Amino acid sequence: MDLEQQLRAALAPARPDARVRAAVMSRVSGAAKKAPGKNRPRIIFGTILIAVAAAAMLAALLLQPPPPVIAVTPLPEEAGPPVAVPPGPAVQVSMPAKISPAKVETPGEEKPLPRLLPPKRALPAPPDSTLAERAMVARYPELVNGPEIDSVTAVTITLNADGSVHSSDIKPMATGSDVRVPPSRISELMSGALSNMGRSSIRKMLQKGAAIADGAVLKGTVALTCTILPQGFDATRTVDLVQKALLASHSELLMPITAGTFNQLTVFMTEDGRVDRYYVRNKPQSSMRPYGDIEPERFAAEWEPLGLKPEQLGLMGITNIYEGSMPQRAPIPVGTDGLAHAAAVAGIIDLVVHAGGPTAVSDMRSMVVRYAWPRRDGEPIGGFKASVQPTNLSTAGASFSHADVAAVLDHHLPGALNDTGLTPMGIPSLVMNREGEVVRSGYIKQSGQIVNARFMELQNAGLHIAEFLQMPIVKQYGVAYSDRVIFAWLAP
Amino acid sequence: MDSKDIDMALTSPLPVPLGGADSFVRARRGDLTAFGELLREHEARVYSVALRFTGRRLDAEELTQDVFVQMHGALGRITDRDHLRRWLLRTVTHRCLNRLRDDSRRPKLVSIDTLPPDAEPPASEAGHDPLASARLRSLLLDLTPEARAVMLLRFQEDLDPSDIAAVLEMPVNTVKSHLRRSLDWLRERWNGESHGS
Repeated sequence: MDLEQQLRAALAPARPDARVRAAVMSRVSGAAKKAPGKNRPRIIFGTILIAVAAAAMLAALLLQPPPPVIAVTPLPEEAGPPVAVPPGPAVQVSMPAKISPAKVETPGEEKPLPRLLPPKRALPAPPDSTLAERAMVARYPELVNGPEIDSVTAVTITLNADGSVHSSDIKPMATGSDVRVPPSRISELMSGALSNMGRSSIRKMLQKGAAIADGAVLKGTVALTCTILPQGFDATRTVDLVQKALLASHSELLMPITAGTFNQLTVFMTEDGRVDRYYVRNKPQSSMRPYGDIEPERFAAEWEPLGLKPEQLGLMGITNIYEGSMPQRAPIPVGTDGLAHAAAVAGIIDLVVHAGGPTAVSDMRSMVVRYAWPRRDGEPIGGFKASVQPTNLSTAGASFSHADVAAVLDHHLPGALNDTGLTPMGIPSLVMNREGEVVRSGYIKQSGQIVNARFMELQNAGLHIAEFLQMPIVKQYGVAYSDRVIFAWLAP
Repeated sequence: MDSKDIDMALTSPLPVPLGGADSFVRARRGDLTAFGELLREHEARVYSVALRFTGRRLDAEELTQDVFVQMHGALGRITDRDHLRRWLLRTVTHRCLNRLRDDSRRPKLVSIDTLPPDAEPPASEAGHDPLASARLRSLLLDLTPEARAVMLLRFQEDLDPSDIAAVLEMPVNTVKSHLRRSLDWLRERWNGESHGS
């Protein structure tokens, strides 16, 4: 295939997530009462109305007693969101980037709103170099005590939150191989929540002869990737367990990627990491869809053939398993395997299994897997987005449930939870005091900057934020949710 | 929208309307269902340009939304389906170019350890090498914004150089020059990585 043909294939149309369409329809539906393109005079009138309303809101804001101002050191940028902002554009706009004072409870209301208390813990900061280097030397002493090493060695270490080693991997690389991590490969390995882990990882190139932690001297050049897992991370439910179980017992279902069809497995796991039951659908390649396309309304139907109801399903995800490597390629760049390893441990979506030496494209095989683990007590029901580990509420240290958040949002920001997962107004945002009561609420519209605690402080003079989280919320059965909600807690 | 749009002549075939030949007309009259049909008909085109241009799904989704919301307000000034297609391509490419310019002016807050933006999800193309396609899309992101726009309109939308020139408001010779240089540049890297037929 020549380059131009390959370009056309690479640029085949991609359809956006259904929620984009829903958001557009939602945004235009308000204007639909007027004929499009013929509404200029009304726009002017509307603008005046909006200006008047905005002035009234501003006056109301100014008349509010200022929040207690307590001098706190502004959070450094790295200390930003414990759960990373989905990468990319972030910012500006917004409705009022300023958020409004929260609704005041009326005496007649019987049931008090749940309190959203500050998180007990947050995702850890990236491991420091010394910790990573010590772990590396402890696990692979030959890197400093053994003979000289001419090749580049890739070392991947995953640490538990307490600094102990969760798992590690070492691979010699060919001398002079490209040690860059190609963004396109990382992107293949990562998806939505995966970038969260980026904040908890370091990647270092340590040169041969360099002195590292505790005065040890390296016998060869090492590309070190070290990831630290969030506290409470559940290593018994990682995607690599799903992949290993399937490769061990159902590898015959892998199909050549050039076959024109692929096998899609829907798999229910056992608590101890085995395949409990599954079914296979063979589908045309053209029907393969991006990861984000688990439509909530189809959620339950996917599991009916296995005799499962949504309330039986806990952590869920999708993974593509590939077997083989591309022909005539340089050795796998350093970092790729490391990231795959860290990604797999972290519950990330994809893993490329390199079967060793080069193979023909026609030998490369893959399968698509939708999997679910049994639901545990207290775990939210289903919900792909909510259950990706680094973003789930308990991992983030939150002491409230998705239902609590839903109740609070219904009260303060009605409409924030909807069937599309997207709120045209922006990202629903709540600011709580130390007692978990909402003191400010509003929407922040994404457009270009990273939304974090500092951003909110800059947009809301007098606000001093001590904790900051953002994560998706599932209302029930994954049917009604918000793509993400921002939570911030005032400093004491 | 100005009259230049109406003068553009596109040669590639129009997509088959989903909602019947009159959905455009009905949408112009304010029929929201018909607007939804138009949206469904063109969303992949607009989203794909935005996605391959920015390399970021979230950016592409936001740009797609904005383009269609703008389209809703502009339908009264769009004369026919042909015009609509040109208008959409022009609007999305200009918005993408503006987005990149805005991004380049902003201070970079992203740590070097932060993983790169989530690019295109690895949808698989039948009969093609998905990894090679991903690599090509990644290489396209290294082109200058104008060259990238030209390449996308040529190889995604199959527009002729004269049509691309009209959409991007640049001389035809500049379009041809972008195409030639970009293909040479891509070919050099592509062959250097031992791909090929």
